[in-house]
Amino acid sequence: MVNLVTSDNESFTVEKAVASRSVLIKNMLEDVGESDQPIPLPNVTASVLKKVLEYCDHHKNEPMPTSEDLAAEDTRKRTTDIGEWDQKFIQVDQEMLFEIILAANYLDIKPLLDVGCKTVANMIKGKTPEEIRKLFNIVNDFTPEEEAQIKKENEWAEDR
Amino acid sequence: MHAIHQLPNEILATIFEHAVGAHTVPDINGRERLTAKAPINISQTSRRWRGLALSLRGLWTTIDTAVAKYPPLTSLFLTRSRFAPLEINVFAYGCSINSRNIVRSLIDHASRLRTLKLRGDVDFKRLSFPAPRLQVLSIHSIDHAVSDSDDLYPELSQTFSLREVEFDALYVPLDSPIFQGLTRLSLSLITFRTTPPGQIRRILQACPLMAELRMLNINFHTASVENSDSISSLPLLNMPAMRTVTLTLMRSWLSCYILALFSSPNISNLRLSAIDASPEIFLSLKNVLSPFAFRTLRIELLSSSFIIRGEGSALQSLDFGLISCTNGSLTTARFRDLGSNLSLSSVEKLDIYGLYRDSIPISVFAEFLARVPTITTLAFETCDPAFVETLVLGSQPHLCTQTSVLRLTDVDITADSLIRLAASRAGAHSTLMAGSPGTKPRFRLHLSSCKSLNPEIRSMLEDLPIDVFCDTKLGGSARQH
Repeated sequence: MVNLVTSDNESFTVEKAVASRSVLIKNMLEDVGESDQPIPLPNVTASVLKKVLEYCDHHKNEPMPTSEDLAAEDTRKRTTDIGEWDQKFIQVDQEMLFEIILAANYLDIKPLLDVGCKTVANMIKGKTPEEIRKLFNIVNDFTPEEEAQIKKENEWAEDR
Repeated sequence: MHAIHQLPNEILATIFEHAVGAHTVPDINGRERLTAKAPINISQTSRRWRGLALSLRGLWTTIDTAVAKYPPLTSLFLTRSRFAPLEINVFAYGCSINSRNIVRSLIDHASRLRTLKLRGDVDFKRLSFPAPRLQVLSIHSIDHAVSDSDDLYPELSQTFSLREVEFDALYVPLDSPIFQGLTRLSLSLITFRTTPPGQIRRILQACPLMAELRMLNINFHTASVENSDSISSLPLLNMPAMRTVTLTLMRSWLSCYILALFSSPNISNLRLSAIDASPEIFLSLKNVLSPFAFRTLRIELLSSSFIIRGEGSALQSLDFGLISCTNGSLTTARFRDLGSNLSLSSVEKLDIYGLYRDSIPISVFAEFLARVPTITTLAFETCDPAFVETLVLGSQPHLCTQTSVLRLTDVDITADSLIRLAASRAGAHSTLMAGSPGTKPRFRLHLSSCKSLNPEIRSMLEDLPIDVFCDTKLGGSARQH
């Protein structure tokens, strides 16, 4: 078993197979060897880690993506297909969604990072810039010159 | 501050790439227009997003129908993608796209084309340029059929990277260097009047790693056949990578000719349909398929065709059809041929679709079924109930005694027959299983769209020691046929 300690000082004791879905933790365990020492995770809160561990536990028996898999994915055209269980898992509020993405990035859990990124991508697809800004509370900070350029682009792309 | 602002650029870039990645999927409902604009929309959201989007040339490499509709937008994508490989996928049927303009605008960027898929009125002659990075070439012309007497065809050169070629109603000489080193080749709607079919052998020889060969409605004239080399004097080509062969709407002799050109131990998907019912094709099938054993077999008898689909450990899918089998006696003969030419001794699952007495006599079907004693799952869909009643209710030793699952879909079996069927199977199954070690599952009866099934019949069925599953509303027939 592995003991993980979150930024808000909460402890989680999990199976090694579950914790090792994180390449960061897996490498730490390999470096430290057999030890009862807790592993601090200063960038992850308890509520987020609980969710991340739920994902890791569900996928613990799946093969880890190899570097060849990752390289092949980079050359392939990306898609936004998400598995059924993952879709339900990632149905969380926006704040939690982005926290999960940041945690997956920090903990180096590539499949979870992918699920998060695809979910955000699906939210963006088919939306106008104004709708995207509204969705994510983004300020329109273009200069007048940039606005003029954008207007020109939109004239080109207008439906006729 | 919204959490999205905390995302580092590399994660935001991944999100952008996913957001535009699906926009090559055509959508007849107009949704492709929205997704195709995703790179534009992203780049117009904020200064940070714009800066990042413009630095990601991969966002701008796909020119599809929605982008191609606007020549200035196409230019914008071509500029912003800089030197990245291009994916072109344009459908120019019945919309305001001028394929000729597309081709014209692509010529300057030909050296970075990776995928070129064009459908519609294309200026083929203009598709004559060096394409050293082209991997996938797919062209569907608006013609219904073409022949090798046409002199207007693309002459792409330096196609070293080309791996997949698909020409629909587009003639390109078969001795073109395009047909080299391919892993997938699909040709359709072409008549070769003077080209000999021996050119197919030359292509296979030049593409030793071909994994998929597809030909649909390809004809060679008799004169060209007479001029062709005799294949019997040539060594069989070894095509170890070949997994899928589809030869449909072809003359039997041509399918036989192609199947006799090569050997491949790894074919997992074979689909054949002949426009004539020559028995030759069964002989060639026997040569190709006899080493394989099927585990699943599906037989479809349609008004004008006869399709057999088989799945096994080596050959995962066989799809075979004789289009001109409209005559009942002819179909019967073919059915007998099927049983004697294919190895059926290990079939576990048999699906039957569209079986009627005017196409096959019950006795012929029974004869066939007797050769398949290993069936554990039997499914009848849209069939004459007489087949079900005779074969499964018969007082003689039951055919398919190992059957533990029976599915009836759209079979108008009477209520009385249904009860007798279930009861006889329940008894036969429990007797059979009594001597078997361990716990065996009960006989399972799946009913779908069976008119005779009402609440009373269902209740009677549920009293039997079997499991009954009903997929549709009681007493209703969900299908029209």
